[in-house]
Amino acid sequence: MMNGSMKQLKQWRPFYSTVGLLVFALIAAVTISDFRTFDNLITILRQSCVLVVLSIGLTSVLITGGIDLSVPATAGLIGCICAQFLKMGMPIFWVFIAVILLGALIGVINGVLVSIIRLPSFVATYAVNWVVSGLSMIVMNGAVIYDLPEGFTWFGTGYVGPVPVIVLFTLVVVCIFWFLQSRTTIGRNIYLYGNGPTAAKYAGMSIPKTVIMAFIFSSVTAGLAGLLMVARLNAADAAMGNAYLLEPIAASVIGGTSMLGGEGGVIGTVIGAVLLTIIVNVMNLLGLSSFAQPMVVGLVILSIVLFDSYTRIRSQNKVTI
Amino acid sequence: MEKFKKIPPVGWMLLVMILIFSMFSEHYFSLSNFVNVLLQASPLMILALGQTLVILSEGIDMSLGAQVSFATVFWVFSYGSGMPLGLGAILTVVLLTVIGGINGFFVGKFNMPPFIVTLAMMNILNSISLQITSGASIYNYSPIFTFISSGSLLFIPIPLLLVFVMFLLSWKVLHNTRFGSTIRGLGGNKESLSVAGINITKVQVKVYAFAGFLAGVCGLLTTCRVESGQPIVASGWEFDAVAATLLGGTSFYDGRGDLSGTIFGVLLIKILQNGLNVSGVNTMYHNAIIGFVVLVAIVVDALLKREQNRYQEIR
Repeated sequence: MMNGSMKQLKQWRPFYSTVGLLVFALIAAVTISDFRTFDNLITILRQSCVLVVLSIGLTSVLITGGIDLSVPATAGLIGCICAQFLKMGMPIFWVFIAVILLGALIGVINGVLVSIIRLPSFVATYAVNWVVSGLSMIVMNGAVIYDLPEGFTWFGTGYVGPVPVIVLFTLVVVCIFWFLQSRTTIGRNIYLYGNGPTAAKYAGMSIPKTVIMAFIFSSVTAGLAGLLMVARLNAADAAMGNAYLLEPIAASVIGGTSMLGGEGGVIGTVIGAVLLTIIVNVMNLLGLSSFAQPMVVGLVILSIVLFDSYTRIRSQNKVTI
Repeated sequence: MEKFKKIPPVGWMLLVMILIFSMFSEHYFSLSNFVNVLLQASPLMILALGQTLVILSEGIDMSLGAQVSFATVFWVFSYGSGMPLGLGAILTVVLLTVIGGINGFFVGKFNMPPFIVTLAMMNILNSISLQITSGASIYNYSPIFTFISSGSLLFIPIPLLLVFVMFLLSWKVLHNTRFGSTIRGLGGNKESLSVAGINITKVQVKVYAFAGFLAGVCGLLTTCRVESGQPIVASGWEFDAVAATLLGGTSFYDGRGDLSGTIFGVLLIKILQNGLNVSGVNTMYHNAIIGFVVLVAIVVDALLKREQNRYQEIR
């Protein structure tokens, strides 16, 4: 009985990254005294929010077997547009609606290019990324916007009791997208399509609709992440999303989402994103040079994906033999 | 008529663009401007050849830009620490070939997604370059740099000769060797290749290593052009190389496409950039315009190919 549930647990895809997360956090907590403070815990949670929100929508696209490279530019553009709206005096509620609609629009463009014109997702979203990042330069007119309304920056810097608002906000977004991805027909269709497009077609589902929905998830979360970036910084800049090309993909993959599609989920991605943030946090606490940090992140990603591929090859061999 | 059809869409777009820019600016249509564009395009051309081969094998190499930056840093650094320039150049190219081979090893041996492997490699290389230079550019001038970047042999600028040699080499590799046809096979049908007894891992290591070799050569040329080692000089070039490859009509899936298309693709991007500069369009709009043109070109190409396929099926 005990053995059986252990086996089941090991088959849960984010199992190894969860163990890795716990072990790593434990070692850091024991060895670094600055790490195990409450303040640092809150800092880690706050720092991970933007990455978590960016990655959970992208996970849906990865589950379809595609990739969305337009995420960083979308976050930047929507962040910039909503900063402009706020400066014009638009109420915060309507800014949120605008973010979701704009995100959906970019998602639809990506989805149509991929599912109806049938471009490879890498190509389509890459070209869209180019256009969108160009647009954000035009929106910003080469300047930086700062000093936004206080009611808005509350989302990025405010607290409810000891808990930052941004963490609560992220929690809500995670719950919504977890529900959409694993408890609704559209979410299940995304898994079905990722597992086998041909089977999905014969099962009678609308493939363009499924793919477009996955891209809408991705772009909407990118937009929300852009909003959070602006709220945290209290400023908007055309290039602010550019740093987030590799990390969301890495967070998803570390959390057990396969780039071949069909496997993974929102919870794993959250774990992956928090793990990445903790690694960066520990490097900062240890005073590692900022030049060396990308290398560590790269090595971590490489070794986790290597481990994942290795176990998959082994399990495949088992099946065939 | 058949011959006209063979010109890829990107060729027509090039013609249209040159016409438009010539109308907008009187300074545009001159020999010196075209030579200038060609010189500016030469490093990217060499890099894009490698990217094309990798894409033909159904892979992608996101570390190429970082590889070029690393090459400039490493060459200048080795020269500064007393190594002869020629030896340093050879060592740089060998080192980058090995780095490319490591990419290919991870992709081939462990079946890891090339996108992730090469992105991680990009991070690692960027870190190393930044560490070596402590984040700044390093300068160790040698007159040879200027000679290579602006000298000419038989009235042909040396960078263009270098592009020509590299193009010929890659073309020969792709068309006249067994390795070349297995690259296409990898993109077309992996299973049948491995059933036919071809060591797929070895082919993949060789493809990425060759792309690394070209990145090394591109790095040397870039060093000569900027006359320094710059840790982020080529960041984003891997994307430009992908765009050029796609514009040139190379497909991501079935091993179809060719190197000459890629050269046209690079030219399209660079002519667009140059034309926007010369005709005085505000730099703010450049990225959006170039991105839009690339998007339209790719969509048109995809639609045209689908029509052709349908036609062939009916026949």
